[in-house]
Order: sequence, then structure tokens, then C-alpha cells
Amino acid sequence: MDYNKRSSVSTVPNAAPIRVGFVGLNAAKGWAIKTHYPAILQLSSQFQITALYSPKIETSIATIQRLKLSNATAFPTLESFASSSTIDMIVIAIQVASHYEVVMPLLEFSKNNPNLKYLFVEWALACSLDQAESIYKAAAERGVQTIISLQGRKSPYILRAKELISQGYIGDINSIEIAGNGGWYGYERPVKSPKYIYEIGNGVDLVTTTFGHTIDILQYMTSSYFSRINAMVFNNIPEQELIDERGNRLGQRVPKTVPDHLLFQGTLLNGNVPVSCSFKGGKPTKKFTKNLVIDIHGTKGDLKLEGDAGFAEISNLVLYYSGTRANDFPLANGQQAPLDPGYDAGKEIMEVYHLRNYNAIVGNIHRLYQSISDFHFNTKKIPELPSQFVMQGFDFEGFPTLMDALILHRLIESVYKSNMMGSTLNVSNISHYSL
Amino acid sequence: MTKSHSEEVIVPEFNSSAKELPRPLAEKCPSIIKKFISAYDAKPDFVARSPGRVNLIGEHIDYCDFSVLPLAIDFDMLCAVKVLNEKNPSITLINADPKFAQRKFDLPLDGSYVTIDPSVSDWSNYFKCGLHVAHSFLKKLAPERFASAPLAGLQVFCEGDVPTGSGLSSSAAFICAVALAVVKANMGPGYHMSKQNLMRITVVAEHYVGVNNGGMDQAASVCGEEDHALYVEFKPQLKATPFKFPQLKNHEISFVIANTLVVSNKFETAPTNYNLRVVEVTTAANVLAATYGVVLLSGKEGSSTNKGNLRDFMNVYYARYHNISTPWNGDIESGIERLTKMLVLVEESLANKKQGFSVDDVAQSLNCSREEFTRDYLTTSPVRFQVLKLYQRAKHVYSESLRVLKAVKLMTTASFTADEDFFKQFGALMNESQASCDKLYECSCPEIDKICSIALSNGSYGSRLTGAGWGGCTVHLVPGGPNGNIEKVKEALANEFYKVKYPKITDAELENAIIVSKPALGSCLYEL
Repeated sequence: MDYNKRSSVSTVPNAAPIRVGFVGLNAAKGWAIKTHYPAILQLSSQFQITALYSPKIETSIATIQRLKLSNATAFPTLESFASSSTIDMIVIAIQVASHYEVVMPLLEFSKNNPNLKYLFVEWALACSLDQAESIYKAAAERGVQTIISLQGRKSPYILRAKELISQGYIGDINSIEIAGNGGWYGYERPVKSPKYIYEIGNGVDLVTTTFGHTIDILQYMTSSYFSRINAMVFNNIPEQELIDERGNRLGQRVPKTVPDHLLFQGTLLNGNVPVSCSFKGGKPTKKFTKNLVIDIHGTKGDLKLEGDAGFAEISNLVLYYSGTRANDFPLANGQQAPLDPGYDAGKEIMEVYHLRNYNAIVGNIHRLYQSISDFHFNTKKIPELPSQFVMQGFDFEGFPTLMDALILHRLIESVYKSNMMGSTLNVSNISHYSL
Repeated sequence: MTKSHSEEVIVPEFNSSAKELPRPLAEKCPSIIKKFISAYDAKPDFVARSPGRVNLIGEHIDYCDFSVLPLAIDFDMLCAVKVLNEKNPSITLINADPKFAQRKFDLPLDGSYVTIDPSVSDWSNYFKCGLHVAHSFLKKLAPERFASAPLAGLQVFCEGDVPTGSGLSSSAAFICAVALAVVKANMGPGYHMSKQNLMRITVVAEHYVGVNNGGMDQAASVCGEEDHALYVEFKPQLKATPFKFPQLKNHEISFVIANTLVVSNKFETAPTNYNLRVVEVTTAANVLAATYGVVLLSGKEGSSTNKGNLRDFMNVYYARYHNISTPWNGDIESGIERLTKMLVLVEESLANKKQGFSVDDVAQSLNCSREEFTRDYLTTSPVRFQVLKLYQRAKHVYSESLRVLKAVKLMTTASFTADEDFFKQFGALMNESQASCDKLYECSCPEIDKICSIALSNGSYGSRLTGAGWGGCTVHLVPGGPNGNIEKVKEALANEFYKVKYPKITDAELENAIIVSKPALGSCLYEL
């Protein structure tokens, strides 16, 4: 795992830090204060928060004071924020439902800022494929490097699984099964939970988020998009009971229009591998059930990823591998494979990869920021590193972009379409669409 | 035996007006201070130092809570520190070795801990481990100050000559120096850290990067004393007792340390080496417990696993079958008796699977499913294996622990008829240890074996690997003084190993690869 060795990679560049403007950083609540902010704290030589925007400027001012952001300015309007030349990177960490109405004018206004290089958007990109495509197109025209927080791609377990697969440790893949739980979408709803995540059309639901992150991770690990898919989406729990923080029922029922079950089947482009995938809402009724299981079976071995939460992108997973050695494959030019002393060539190897102290919620986002920094400062001294790239695709290096996000949105759109039409869809051109 | 460390002993503090500085400080502080000034354009407030260590005997048994016999060495890690009074505190790290690039990170303003990413191999992670345990200590020591306020910002310049991956505990030395420095920086001149506290907090530090080491490294680094080996015990409580070497008639007792120059990177090889051994010895303890119908109970603070260990098995076995309900207290004679019995039990119950246990074998022995075994034993840190060699590992742990007790007994022998008696007896224990590490624990490597063979043929009485093994350093018991063999051993190693294996080795590199180190002072502070 060369990409994990960083002692000789400087994190103190001979250049000014990337100046970050946040839309949606609130010291009192939200996702950014839990993840983006601690990540930037760890990379203070590379990123500096210089601007905050919120519809209420008081929120930004309070955040600046609370976090002592001595280099940051609170902006009263989106236009003044986007126009400010004190920003190199804009991070969008607000509700998905507002992405389109914020990002489109922001990109337009940002034409007044010649310094803007990066646009970082939290997943999901938007509420619909149309909106996602519009945002992608606008960002491309604006000419910024884009980042989407499909941060599961940075999980050490996903990278290790990807490494094992790409190095032939499981041989050719012959089948894949996924089962997961999306905790919020069951019979009960915490009273403090925001209402919008239970209303269809806000871009946050079992399919767009839980399935979206997980299936992106699967494609990334296996280095393959899908060729055909079939999906069924259910809202079998149209009403939920409200519960308080202690789990006590409040005697009140509220409507839910987002799905609570997804059945998904598809075949991967590479190898025509069948994938079966089941997501459901609510807490598992059997205590010993894992909330997330990904099984990848190959001709030489098997991989299993397990998580205690149904959200692979923020879970501290466990990776299990069992199989024969990669060296069982014939080598080029009749080279003799080096034998590991003590290992019987015919016997099965088992690997369990888990880091008990890894904080996946912060850690995966932190590693995403690290990759942006590596790109910006060319910390690994890659000759002729381009100033922009369109997509990460399935590379170990780099970071996912809005093109990667768009491809995923197309897949999700196909899930809903397949459900509505009741048919299997050919999605093999999903990454080839021209805009 | 000299004084015990059961009472609180303060980490020694020195300053520029001290009449006589310990040799490591006198030699190394001026250099690091100069480099600090060059890097930061400011004078540091103090220098924290911690030495590496050589383990004379007792390898891979500390994480089973058995006693070990290390000594601190002249190689050490130094941190020159300037405390900053910033509103937004941050820590900047510069290392004299350019292989370790500069680092800077902010401290959380709410007083929470700095995040450590155990999936990344980065030198600053070890700094953060030391920072974390010091921070945790400070929160308990002065909660009104540190519960919800940030630590002080620091500028740190790090320099060390403990070779990385050499098995001399470069990481532990670094972490001990850092923890000492952070406490010093935040508590100020009025507070004096005790060795016991420094040792206790740093023992668990590397667990935050997923390394399950057992505490010997930290104990030796913190409590080292000149001219003494340390007898380090982990139970009933962590304790380091200095033992002076016997006074011989015509020879000095010297230890030659020879570095194979094979770097064993703990991070990369841990899944098949270090981490796997921890799993194997834990599993062996539980298989033995299941076989003899006893239950292991362990609630060790800071331990990454609560499955018990081979010492726990020894205690519960004697409680059940010998009605001795008090756990072994470290007494030499009863320890020798018990460990001898343990070796009989290992032969009795594990020897039938010398080729190794598969996961199914273990699950069957433990009366659980393979899924339960995998979940409970294999997810503490990354591991990769084909079979678990429980017989070999358990036999090594018990026999090595027995050798440590015999070595201590030898150290406390009042006199010897001839000097050679000591060398032969102590040397034999070292050689048996090397054989056990090589054949049973499988943590040697061809270079280690070669060096030991050459040294033994040229005047060493005892030769063995030291540290985790799989490369790194070897230690050799060689008579010193006017009648000694040190030069002969060094010359033979240079000609028969280094110049053969590394034809382009320079004289300077050779000088660093073979050293004769006297036992050195442990952690200390130098104030400017």
C-alpha cells in the first residue's frame, strides 16, 4: 500500500494554503462542523478557512467567533461571497435540496473571482439527474476542478479491497452480494431528525444516499460500471412513529414518502458479474445482524466487508479475505515467483483487515482533503501533473469529481426508471454520455 | 539489586548550569539546539530526551505480561521544544532526518484529542500518540485547565540516532520523549513528571496506531540507569527494577550491538509478523484454558484485547489445580516452578498440532464458531496468515520467561569461581533465547542467524536478536576490558558479514552498525 506511506511526503508546502470558503459551516450544528472542519484542522498548512456564507450572516459571524477563524470573513450575500478573490476553493455543505439553487448562481457570480480553482460539493450533487447535469455543465464551463464527497473511496478498507482485487488475490470475480440497512427509514423516527430527509424529492433517501455511496464503492473496488440493472423500490412504511432521544414513543405518527426498501440486481461490465443488492430501512430486529455486508466471490478467493452501520462511507469496516496467493498465476517470461518462507503455496491465506481506532467519519473526509492537497501542491512530484482532470474513475490516486458524481446519478436515475417501468435496463453507456 | 522504583521517582531534569551533565545530553543537546534555532529562528525552551533500548533476554513476552530484561542504550531521541502562546494553537514538527518531512497541524480549540489515522504510515502519527497520552494524562491531572481548553501550541525539532526499524525501539523512544515534552510544555517548570506516570501513560501509546506492543520498550526507555540492566515486570503492577551487573575479577561485561541493516518496517509487516504473533499467543492462552477447563479473566486497562494471555492462564491453572488463588507475584523460585509446569502442559495439549492450527481447528478447540473466533480474535489489528502456530508460540513464551528468571538469578549471584562461569551461563541463556526466537517464534532472519554464528565463533558467549526481530539489531555478550574479545568480534563481523553482505559499506556506516553501548540513563529533560 504505497499510497499509505506518507512520512516523506511534506504536508507543509512552499506555497500559501488553499483558501477555503464554506457554504454551510455552522459551529452549532450540521455535517461540516463534524467532518470538514476537523479535517482541515489536521491540514492547517494546506487549507485555510477564509470565507463563510449563510443566508443569515449572524450564523457565519457566530461560527467565526466560536471557532476563532481569524482569517475568515462572513459574507452577507451569495454574490459577494462568490465574487471574493480571497477564495481558492468553495465547499458546499448544505442540504441537497438547496444545491441547485445555490450552486448555479454561485458559479455565475464566481466569474468575478479569478482565484477560484476548486468546487467541493457534498454528495448528493442534486435532487435530480437534470439538476446534476446542469450543475456539472455549469462547473465545466466555469473552469474549476471539482470534488464530490464520495468519501467511501478513501476508506482504508475499500482501498485494501481494491488492492486485493486488482492484484489478482481473488482471481476473476464471479458473483457479488450486498445487504444493508438504512437506519432512518424504518418504523420509528427520532423527533430531532430533520423532516426533509423523509420527503421524496429532496435528494436524500435510501436510494440516493445509502445505496448511492455503497454502489459507488462497489464500482470503485471492482473497477467496473454496470452493464444491465433491474430494481424495485418500495415505500411499505408510509407512516413512522416519533420517538424521543431515549427511544420512547411520543404517540405521534408522521408521513414518510421516501423509500424504505430497495431490491437491486445488475451485472458488471467487466466479466458480466451478477450483483444482487438489498437495502432496507430501520434497525435490524436481530441483534447479531450486521448492518452492512458486501460479499465478493472470485475464482481464487473471497472478500467480505462488514460494517456496523449501513453507511459504508462513514463506517469503520472490517475486511475479511480468504484465498490462494496471487503468485499462483503464471508470470510473464517464465519468471520464477518468489516464495514466501513459511507459506505453503497450496494453502489458503486468510487476512482480516481492521483498524480499531480508525475514525471513519472524519478520517475518510480528511483523506479526501489530503488528496486535494496532494494534487494542488503536487506533493508527490508527478512530472507534468495537469492542472485539472475530469474524473477519478477507478484510479487509486486523485479524488472523485462531479463527472464521477454524474455517472452515479445516472445509475440512480436508472434505478427509479427500472422500478417504474418494471423492466431490466441497459446502462452500459452510462459513462459515455455526451452532454 | 539496588533501589526499587516502587516509590515515585522524578524524571531527571538538568539545565545549562548543572555541574555535570549526563553524557548523552552533553554531547547531543548543543547540536539539536543549534538546529532548532536554524529551523525556527528562535531558542527552544527545553529538550526532552528518551533512549532506545536493547533487550538482553525476554523477547515477545511482554505483551503476555511476563518480565523482561532490557537496558537503555546510548542511542536516543531528542525533542527540542518551544512553547507558543497562540490563540489558535498549532504544532509544527521538523525532523533532522529529511526522510521525515515537516508537519503542522492545529489543536482543537475545545480541548478534544487530535485525530490519529492508523491506516497511514506517517512519522507524525507517533508524535500524535505521545501527544494523545500526555493530553489524556493532563486532563486527569488538571481537569479544570484541560477538560475543555486546548493544549499549548509547540514548535518541535526532533533528532534521534536510534535507527528506524532496527528493533531498538525508535518509536517508543520518540513517544516517551514527546509525552514528556507535552506534559512539560503545558504544566510548566513547577511540575515534575514521575517516571512511573510517564511509563504508565506511554505503554498504551502505540495502540492508537494499531501496534499492540507490551510496554517493555517504554519501561526501559523511561527508567534506564547507567551501568544497570532493568528487570521490568508488568504484573501485579508495572515496575522497573535496576540490577547492577556482577562484579567480575578480570573482565568487564560488555554488550556489542550489531545491526543487520535489514529494516523491519512495523507498519508493513505487522499483519504477518507482529500483529499475528499477538493473535497467536492470545489464542494459545484461550485454547489452553479451554483444554484445562479454566476461564481467563482479564480487564487490563488500555489493552486492545480482553481475551486474557498466557500469564493469566498460568494463574488460573494454579488456582484450580494447585489451590493457589493468589496470582504469581513475580517471585523467582515459584516462577521457575510454574513456568516449568506450563511447558509440560504445552507439550501435553498443543504438541499434537505442530504443523499449526487452522481457523476451524481453533474454533473447535474453543467450542465456538469460526465466525465468533474471527470476530473476537482477529479484528484487533490487521492480520494475514495460513495457520496459527499455537504450540510454537506458547512454548517460546513460557520458555523465554523461564530464561529471564534464570538470568535474573544469575545476575544476583554473589560471585563466580571464574569469570568465564558467568559468561558461559548467561551466554547460554542468550543462545537458547535466539534458538527459540528463530525456531519457535520465527522472528529471526538469515542475516541475524549469520551475525550470531560469526560472533559466537569469535569470542561472543551469547548472541541473539533483540527487539521484535525480522531484521534489526543483534546483541552479543562479549568480555570487555584488557583481556576482552570486543575488537576481535567487531573485526570478524566487519570482515565476514558487513563487507560480504554490503560490499560498498563505508567506514562511517560500519561504525554505526556495530557499537558497544553501555547502559544509559533513561528519559530526562534539559532546560535552557
